[in-house]
Amino acid sequence: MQQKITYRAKYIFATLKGDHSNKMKGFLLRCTMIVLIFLIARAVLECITPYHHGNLEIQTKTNILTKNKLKPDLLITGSSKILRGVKSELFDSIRNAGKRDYFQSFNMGSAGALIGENKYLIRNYLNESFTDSCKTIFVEWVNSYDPNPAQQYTERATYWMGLSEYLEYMEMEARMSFLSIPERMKFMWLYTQMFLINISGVSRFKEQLVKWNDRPTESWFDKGGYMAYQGHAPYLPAEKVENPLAYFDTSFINGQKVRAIELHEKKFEFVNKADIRQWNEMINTFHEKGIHIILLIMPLGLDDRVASLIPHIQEGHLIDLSDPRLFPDLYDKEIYFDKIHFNDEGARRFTRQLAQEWLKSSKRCKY
Amino acid sequence: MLFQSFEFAIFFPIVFGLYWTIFKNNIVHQNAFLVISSFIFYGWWDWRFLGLMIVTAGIDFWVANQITATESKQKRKSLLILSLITNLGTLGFFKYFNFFIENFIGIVRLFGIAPRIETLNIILPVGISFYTLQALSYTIDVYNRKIPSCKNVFTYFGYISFFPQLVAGPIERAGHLLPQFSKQRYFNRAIATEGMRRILLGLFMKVVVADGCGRIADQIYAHPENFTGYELIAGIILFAIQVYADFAGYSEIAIGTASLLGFKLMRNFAFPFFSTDIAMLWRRWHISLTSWFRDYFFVLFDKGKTTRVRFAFNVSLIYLLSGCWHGATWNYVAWGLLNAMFVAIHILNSSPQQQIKRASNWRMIPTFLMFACSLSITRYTELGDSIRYYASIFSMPRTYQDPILLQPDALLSLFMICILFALEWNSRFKHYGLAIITEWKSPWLRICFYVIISMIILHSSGHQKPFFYFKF
Repeated sequence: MQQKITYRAKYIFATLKGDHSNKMKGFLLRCTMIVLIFLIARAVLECITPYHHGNLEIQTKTNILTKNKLKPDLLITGSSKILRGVKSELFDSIRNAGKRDYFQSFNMGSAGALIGENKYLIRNYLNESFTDSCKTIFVEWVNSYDPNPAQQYTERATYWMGLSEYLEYMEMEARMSFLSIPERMKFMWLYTQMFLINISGVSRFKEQLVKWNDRPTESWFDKGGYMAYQGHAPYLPAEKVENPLAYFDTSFINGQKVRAIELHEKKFEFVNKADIRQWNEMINTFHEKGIHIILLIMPLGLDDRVASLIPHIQEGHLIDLSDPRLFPDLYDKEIYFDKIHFNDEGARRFTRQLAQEWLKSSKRCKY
Repeated sequence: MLFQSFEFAIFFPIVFGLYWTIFKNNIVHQNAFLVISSFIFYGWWDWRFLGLMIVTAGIDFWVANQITATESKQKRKSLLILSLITNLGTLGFFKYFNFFIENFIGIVRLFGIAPRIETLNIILPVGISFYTLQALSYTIDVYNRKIPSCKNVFTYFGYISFFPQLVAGPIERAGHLLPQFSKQRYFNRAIATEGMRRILLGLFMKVVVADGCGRIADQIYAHPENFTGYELIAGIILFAIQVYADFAGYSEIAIGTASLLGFKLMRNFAFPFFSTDIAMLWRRWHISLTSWFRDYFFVLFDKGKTTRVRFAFNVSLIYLLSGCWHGATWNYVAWGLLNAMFVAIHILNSSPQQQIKRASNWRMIPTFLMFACSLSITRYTELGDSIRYYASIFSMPRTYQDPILLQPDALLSLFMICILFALEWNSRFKHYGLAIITEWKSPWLRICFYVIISMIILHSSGHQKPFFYFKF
């Protein structure tokens, strides 16, 4: 038996080296061995690469749009607040009331998605051929982020392109030519990491299921991209407070580990005027294509920095639902299932309010 | 189905397996199986055009046998004309009908007449430009008594519809490919291994290099007014590399696939961008097409000793015709004319001895740039757009954009281009770009290389474009 194994091993090794004559068997064996080595190499790289990126949610949703040939005229992008806070069907039923044609919206919200990622999503999404019908895009104005990584809710990478987006963000904020030498070297090192990760063939990321952050499967989005929780709240219900900005307390996420690469990624700077300029440019560019971009400020989405930037956004391209004096119904504790996400009732309430504001805004601006 | 598609990855192993197992002992059955496989392959695009190919091939099969059967010169000529009319008429209708109608209407309108003629909504059958010339090569060679006519219908249909080279070449000659269908084929491991290498190279060229260049070039050509002059020139270069990598990549896959089935196809590209003059470049670019025009068209005009001016003129006609073959728009005509002019000037400017004397590596760059600039005309469908593109090189961009060549995608594509040209440079005295690997002593090094290239191909395969030359 041992002799047989040794003989087989020698035969395989010799075949790999190409020592056999014109035999189909040897050729096929060689091809098979190379394919096996390829698969093993891929698997090894997948295990040892430090970071998985790629947002399964966005990929799933775009696949649904493509496969089902859906042609929504309105896209709603944003973070988990949009994911959980907007009911597309309800939104459509309000805005289409009394109209002959029925227009369909689609919720592209994705947990943890930041505004830079949404910009990337819109630019790339709209390059796909199935977006001919799209006329409006809501973008959640995810406000300034404290660069403390402990602010983050999950250990997952929840970016559209992850490291790539960060690199793009670096380019956005400061052109390559303005980076100092150490910053450029850091840029190239991060870029090399991205390349190595990419060639490992990783097409999905390992999800760390956070207790309240169960990811929906493809079937959840068959009816327009909305997912609602029915009040499963492992955390304490949100407290109604006088100052809603107290919601930016991060104590409830204590104990969660954040991997080193996320420390890099989540160290975004605050949204600033340069970013607003780019958004205004994008608004103009898409306006030429007949697509209206609207920045949407959610409840709990306003702070001093965002407030100071609002006047710089082009008129007619902002819907602000953050003022508790104007929208007190959106600040009741009963409609939240944690400190920032709406539950089902909250989603309905918010969606109705959003639809009404949208109708007012569209009449005012006639788009 | 595309070579780089999942369907082909399923289709070909099945064909390969059945071809070398069940059908290997009977050549007639093997040819019949190849014909059926080729029909499936072609019909996958559009089954309607399969009928067209079968009809035209059937007519040529009958015509060639009739030509052989008769000794009457008049009758032979008539039969040849029938074949020419059938093939060129079909090609002319599908490819050039709307072009001629539009131009005819334009000319007539100049005289104030508004003709009631409309263009038709004609879909160009995939590969018609290729298999038409291949069919004509057969009937013309039979007429000239260079080859006997084919008696077996499966052999002939196999020659016409052979799927590796059916839709985008190389345009084979009857004298080269047809005998291979008549001979028993044996599996040769060395040739099959070379075939696999060529397929890998072809996929790398197409999926990684061509598509990568295409993504950047598309952005530049879509809005040239937003880019600087340097970026527009880069766009021209990238487009030329895209076309080369796309087409040469397809040819490599075709040759490699044919090798796995025991066939040898002719070489279609011989590292054209390493040419030191434009005539050399054209001798190395799409060799099957230019040699076809030389052997079947050029001989009509060139009857032997002639003046250099006349020779230059005759050669120029080939390039003009080549331009027209590529497409039915004035852009392609202009491209053909431009290259005709370049080649004519080259011929008139120097004798063969002077050409040898002048050849040096540094001339590759201006030769490449000249070719790339002419090829850029074909990127648009309207000639005016191409002229505007060139004009934009000398004007300021309307909006400021981040340097497109510094984006990660662009840097990656540039890196892959460097890898491709490094491989080709080291293999420039061999037959294909990956031939240099055969000189690597360590088999493990070769295996590592195959694995890395495969990973890169797999990574890049998410954003595929169809093969560029399918539109011809």
